[in-house]
Amino acid sequence: MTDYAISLHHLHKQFGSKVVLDDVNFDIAPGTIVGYIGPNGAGKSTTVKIVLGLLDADSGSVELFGKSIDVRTGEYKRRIGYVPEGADVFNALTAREYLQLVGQLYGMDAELAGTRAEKLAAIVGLGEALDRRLVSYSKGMRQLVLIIASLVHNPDILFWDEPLNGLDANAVLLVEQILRELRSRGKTIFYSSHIMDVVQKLSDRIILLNGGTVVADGPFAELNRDADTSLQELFNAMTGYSEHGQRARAFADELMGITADAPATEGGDGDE
Amino acid sequence: MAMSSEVLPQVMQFLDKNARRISKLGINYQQYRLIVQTKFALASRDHVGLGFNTQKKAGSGNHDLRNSFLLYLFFGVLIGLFLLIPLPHLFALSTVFATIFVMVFLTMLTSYSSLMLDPRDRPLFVARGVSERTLSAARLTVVGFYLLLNVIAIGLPSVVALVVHYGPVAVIGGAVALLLLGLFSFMLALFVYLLVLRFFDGERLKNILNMVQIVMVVGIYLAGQVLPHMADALGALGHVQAGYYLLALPSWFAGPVLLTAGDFNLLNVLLTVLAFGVTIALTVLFWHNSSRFEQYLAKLDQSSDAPRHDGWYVRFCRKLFTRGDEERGYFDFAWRVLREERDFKLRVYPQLAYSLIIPVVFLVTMGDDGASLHSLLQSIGRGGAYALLMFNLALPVAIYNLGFSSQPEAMRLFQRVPLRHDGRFLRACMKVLFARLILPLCLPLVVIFALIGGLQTLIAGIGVLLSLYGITLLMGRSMVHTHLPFSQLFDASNQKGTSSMMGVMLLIIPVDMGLMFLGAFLHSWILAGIVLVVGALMALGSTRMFDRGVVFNVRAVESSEH
Repeated sequence: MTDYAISLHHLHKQFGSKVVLDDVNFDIAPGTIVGYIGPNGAGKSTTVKIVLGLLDADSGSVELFGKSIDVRTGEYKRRIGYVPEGADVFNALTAREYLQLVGQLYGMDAELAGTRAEKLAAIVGLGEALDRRLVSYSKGMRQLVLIIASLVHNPDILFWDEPLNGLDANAVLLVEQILRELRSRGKTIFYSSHIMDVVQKLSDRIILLNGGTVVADGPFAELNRDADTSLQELFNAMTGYSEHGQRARAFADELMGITADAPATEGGDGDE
Repeated sequence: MAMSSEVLPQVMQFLDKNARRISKLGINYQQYRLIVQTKFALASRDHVGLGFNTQKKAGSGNHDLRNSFLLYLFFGVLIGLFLLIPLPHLFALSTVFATIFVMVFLTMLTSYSSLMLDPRDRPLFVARGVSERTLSAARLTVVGFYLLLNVIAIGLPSVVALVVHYGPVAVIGGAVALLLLGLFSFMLALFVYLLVLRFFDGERLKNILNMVQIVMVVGIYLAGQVLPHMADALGALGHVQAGYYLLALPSWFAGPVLLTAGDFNLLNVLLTVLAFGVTIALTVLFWHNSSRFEQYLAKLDQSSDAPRHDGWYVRFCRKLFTRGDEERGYFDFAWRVLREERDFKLRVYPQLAYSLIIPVVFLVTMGDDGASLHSLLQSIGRGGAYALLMFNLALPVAIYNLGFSSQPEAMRLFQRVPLRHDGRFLRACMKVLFARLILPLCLPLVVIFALIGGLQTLIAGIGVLLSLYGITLLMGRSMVHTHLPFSQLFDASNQKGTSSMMGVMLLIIPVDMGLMFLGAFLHSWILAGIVLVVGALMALGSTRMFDRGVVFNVRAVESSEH
């Protein structure tokens, strides 16, 4: 029997009367990049929080490598690396201190955590800034620190939410290549993003969540019957969003002061 | 760890010696130790002393702690002196413990709330395998340590002073009572957080904490002003019924002191039982609910989804004070920013309370018959309206703090979308200050004073209110130069502009006091009429001062991430 890296069985979660996850099921083999996508409020963050023990599921189970996760001990979390979206860091710490702290929380020896953090930081171009406080870091630098923090303990599974936020084009290329490299070495990556081009480029498998339910699951090539359709267009179609053209026209009309009957005018509004 | 030089080594050694005991409580000691170290280092770098954020100097680390300790020790000595006064024992001890309780509880709710309620903790620690129990224990340890130093600094002089009237054995009872009071304050504050987060969201909790801070600071001001005038009443309080002491929480901690001083009676035994029993019960209850506390903390960053509507008062003020869409827009903007700025309220509202206390004290003492109701009514009838002038004492502080906000970089909006009329924006801000700070307090007082003093008082009161409006605009125009409102980050250690603020305040006090006395003694129809005319002229004239000459330097907007 194959030990899937991660398995969700009939996962259900609701907040009050609002159902956020409704009978979510999937199994992910090791060495896969999964594009975990969906509109805002679809349940993506809730799924990740349940896996990480930050929320309790109402019913259903989560397994990592064939074993149910034990939220009480938290030991399974050592096999997971997490980049949350828009994370706050302790600004008063230096990057080295923050990465060392994270490494130690995962059970690493302090010196090993520090050495590895230093080497990883040097590779991504943060070497010289490692001993500066995080408060002085740009958005992109902080994001790189968060990425290193998710990897310093060499986890088997990664949950990355909008990991490319704030990164320049070179850093984006580097991070994409790192992901491919990690995948080829057996890591399992849950990649969540609203930038469909990148998701399409990187993912071996797409899981599209909408209204708490999995509405699409499979490689992009299988989901996309028409060779010319992009993931963006597939996303729109599967989430039932097709009025973007109409809305864009209405938006511009409103801006230009055009009603249904009046003709379009040129020039912007000035002071009258 | 690299930051170990900032971590208190003695504390870490103590914890290491008790590692086994700590582990038996279901806590992962290695993770716990790591988090405690990190939190101490963070507190040191954020210059958290014992409740005061001190000067930011490189490497000042533990000096902040020492300086705060000495400052609190000084307060403790002042409190302890009270025990040297020959007063009924239970009353004296209750007063001292009440004062200590207020100071410790306030510190817990204000300075240490950020340590206890850090929303970054769960995503960082719990997501990486730290149990909620371990995280909670680490946080409690750090806050508990600072609180313990706080309690010792404030309470030790009082404990030592016990030897004078209560005997040396009572010092032991006092020390036990003090530590118990500290623990009680700690647990009570945690329960406040737990209860509020159980039923409300983080936004509501922050508002409530803000309100508690303000009420307590105002209470301390009030006590400082009112108590000295109540010498007779204080003596009478010594004969308060025993039952009242059972209801007054801080009085419970007088029980152990009195028992060890040899004063053995049913009341003291009951007080002691309450002190020990309730404190232990709270501690056990919290320990059993600590993991729930951690989960509720996830609500810290949440705020209500309910749409917000403008209340009748803001609609009324908008209609009363603004003309034209532009001014209305600036008025609404300034109103909404000030509604959310908690630090502004914390710095300004106590000063506002102070400006209310001074006229009250003036009116109480001005009467012919001393501090009696008849005398008070007489004073109000004669001089109540003029006493309201003291409200402008709050204006320099309010105008100074108008320059700051928690998100100054948001004002960069005005770099992209230029202010069409800087002067009108400033005027709108001043009108908001008047409408939010002065008018809600002054207008009801004018009505109340008029009911007591008649039409003359009403005319004078309206005149003073109009004058206050004019003074608000005038002060704003003269104090605010090129700094755009809400565009700077408040830094307690770098207070440029406070000298001009202090200068204005020093000028206001004698002028207002003089006018107050003059008005009270010369009160007549003619004077009331003059005040009304002068007030109207000031109100009308001051609005014109913003038409020219106000230019903000929008490039100088600061960032909260520096």
